Amino acid sequence: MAELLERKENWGSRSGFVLAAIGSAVGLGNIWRFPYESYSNGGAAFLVPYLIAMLVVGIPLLIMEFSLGHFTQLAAPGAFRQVSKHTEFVGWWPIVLCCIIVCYYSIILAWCFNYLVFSFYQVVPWAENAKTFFFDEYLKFNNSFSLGNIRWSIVISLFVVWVAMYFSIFRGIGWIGKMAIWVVPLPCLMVLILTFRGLTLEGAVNGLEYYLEPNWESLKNVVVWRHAFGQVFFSMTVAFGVMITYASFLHRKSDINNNALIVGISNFAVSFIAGIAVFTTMGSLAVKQGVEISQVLDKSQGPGLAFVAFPAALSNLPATQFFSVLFFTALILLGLSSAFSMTESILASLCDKTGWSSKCVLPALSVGGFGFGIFFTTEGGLSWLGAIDNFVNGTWGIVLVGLVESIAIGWFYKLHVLRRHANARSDWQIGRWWEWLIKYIIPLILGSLFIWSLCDDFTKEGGFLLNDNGQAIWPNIVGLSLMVGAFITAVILSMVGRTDYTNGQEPENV
Amino acid sequence: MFEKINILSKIQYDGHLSATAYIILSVVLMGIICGLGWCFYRAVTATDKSAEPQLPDEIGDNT
Repeated sequence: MAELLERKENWGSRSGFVLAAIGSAVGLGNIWRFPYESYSNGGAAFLVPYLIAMLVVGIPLLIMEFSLGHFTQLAAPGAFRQVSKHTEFVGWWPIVLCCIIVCYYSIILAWCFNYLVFSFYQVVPWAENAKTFFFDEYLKFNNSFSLGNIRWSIVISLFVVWVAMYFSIFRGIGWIGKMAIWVVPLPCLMVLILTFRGLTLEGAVNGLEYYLEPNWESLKNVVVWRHAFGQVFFSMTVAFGVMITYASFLHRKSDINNNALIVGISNFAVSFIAGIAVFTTMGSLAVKQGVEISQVLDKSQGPGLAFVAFPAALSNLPATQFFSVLFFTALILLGLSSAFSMTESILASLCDKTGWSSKCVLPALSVGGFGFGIFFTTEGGLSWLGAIDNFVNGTWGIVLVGLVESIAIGWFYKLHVLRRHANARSDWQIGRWWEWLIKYIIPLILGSLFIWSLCDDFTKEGGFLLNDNGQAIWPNIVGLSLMVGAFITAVILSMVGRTDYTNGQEPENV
Repeated sequence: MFEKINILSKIQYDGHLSATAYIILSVVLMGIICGLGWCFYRAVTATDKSAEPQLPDEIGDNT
């Protein structure tokens, strides 16, 4: 009997894989979501549920995805096909969601690219009023769901982003590994420079105490725990199919458990240090403007932080251009490595399924992503981006996928085989506890998160699908339809085309 | 318990970091450094990489 097959392509080096996986996990959310979550959920006390969530959900799921991808040497759909012929759709589901996510994620990168160009101006255009500039002048945001005109400056940047993504992927996984060695540490270094810069500013401590002073009482509040588990789940790129795909390109004897732990700790490290950069800078802005820090911090999340609050803070400091360039370059590199990991995951899934060459599929994928992305470059694009992101990258999308994924692997698969596979080649071993986590604890936690959010949505003031007057709430209807559509598409994709996934060659011949 | 409470109101902000905040900052930074250090140490010192060959029929019902 032959040994398990091995892909023809591989990472070339372990560091290439680890850095690419870190690049995929560390994204814009580490900078614009973690610090705010921490601040609004008990300051440093939030770290307790966060670290528990990382150890109980994040790293075990990461080990599961790495093991599955490495064991089967196939992207998510093929890997789940190996689990059972009935579970291939579980692999396609996150891939379809990735198709949607990458369309609007690239828009945020396009904004960053435009802002990077603006940073070179002698006087940065947001210097007078960052909020007015971003919403009224740059986006011409109409604050409604009517699309309005296309913003051509964003379309041009979007084109540049897709060209960059194409050239990041087109030479295969070995090239991604080589690129990751530069693309991933560089933004981390830039965040570190911004942190040191922030620490030297007047008012830095004022901001920092909002981040680091713990409120232990908050640990009694179950909402805080929910936010911590949600933050860990979303920030580690689990249940996106990406980590399964990346691990499928690993060499047969490569480590699994230690790699997962390195990715988890690095992801946390970037989030925590980025939080210091954000809070020290926001503290200095508050002191400079003579306002309460909480007034500044309440706007310091999501695109509001990246395109309004942080640029406003930088424009109040000496060497505005230099630090703006540093900040937006860091955002672009962090975002780009996450975006091309999703694109690579879609590409590998399609190529595994159809047997088509990536040289044909990638250009089509890039043109399609660019084309659909134009929808979000309109004056009402931001409204749609927020509405769709709430569904796809939220409980209805990724959490549900994570829940189904852990049930599929935990209950319909020989979990001990995966554990033995991971332990046989890892620097340290996992015990039976890992199987219990995947089988019982993680489905329980993700199931609770899902049902809780479901209750929140359907009991929301003003209605969920229909408002109090019986009128349709279209963003929610479209979001929900997209989720149902993604599920149906995944099921169809699992039923059509070839089902005999074979990929690679015997290890001896590699 | 399930309602969103005003968590921030429980903290007194006076423009200074307390000893607890400094301890947390040190512990977290040490945790990151030691955690990554331990991972790299295990990676460097791991010697037994001779994994047993595994067979395709262990995977599942690939029918």
